[in-house]
Amino acid sequence: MVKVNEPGFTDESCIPQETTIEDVKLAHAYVPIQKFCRTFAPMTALMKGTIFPALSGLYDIYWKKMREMKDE
Amino acid sequence: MNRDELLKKLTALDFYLIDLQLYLNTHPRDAEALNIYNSVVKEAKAVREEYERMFGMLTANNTSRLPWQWIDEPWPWQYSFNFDLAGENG
Repeated sequence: MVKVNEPGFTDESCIPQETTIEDVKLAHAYVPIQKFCRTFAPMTALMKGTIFPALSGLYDIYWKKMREMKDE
Repeated sequence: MNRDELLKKLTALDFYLIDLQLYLNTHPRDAEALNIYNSVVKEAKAVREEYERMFGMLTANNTSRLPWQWIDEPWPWQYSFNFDLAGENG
């Protein structure tokens, strides 16, 4: 069944993305390939907007920065 | 399980499947992800069937007992149909 990412749980043996990108070229942009590790439980995922812990909270940071820039 | 709890569970499972579909679009040969996807599809199907058996049709393109169940209120787009997620932590 679903491998659930419990609070406080970290699986150090599974890194959720490729860590080395080879054959890079100048002036090209690269996105690391995601790898499947654990996921949130379905109800937690619904609250967070993603099933992947590594993708959770990214937009919180984005909007916080946007608000800070607006306040300056 | 009451109506709200069952609907919430189904919504969470359906959302889980949507996000896993996106992953599988770019990783079609990931056997582990596909196994989980297939098992969650079955779980969501069972929950959907249980909901519809107890509380009526979720979509109109489904079988119905007599009388036609779709007109039983509330309809999915009505406020009272939906559970409240605000302030919950999952």
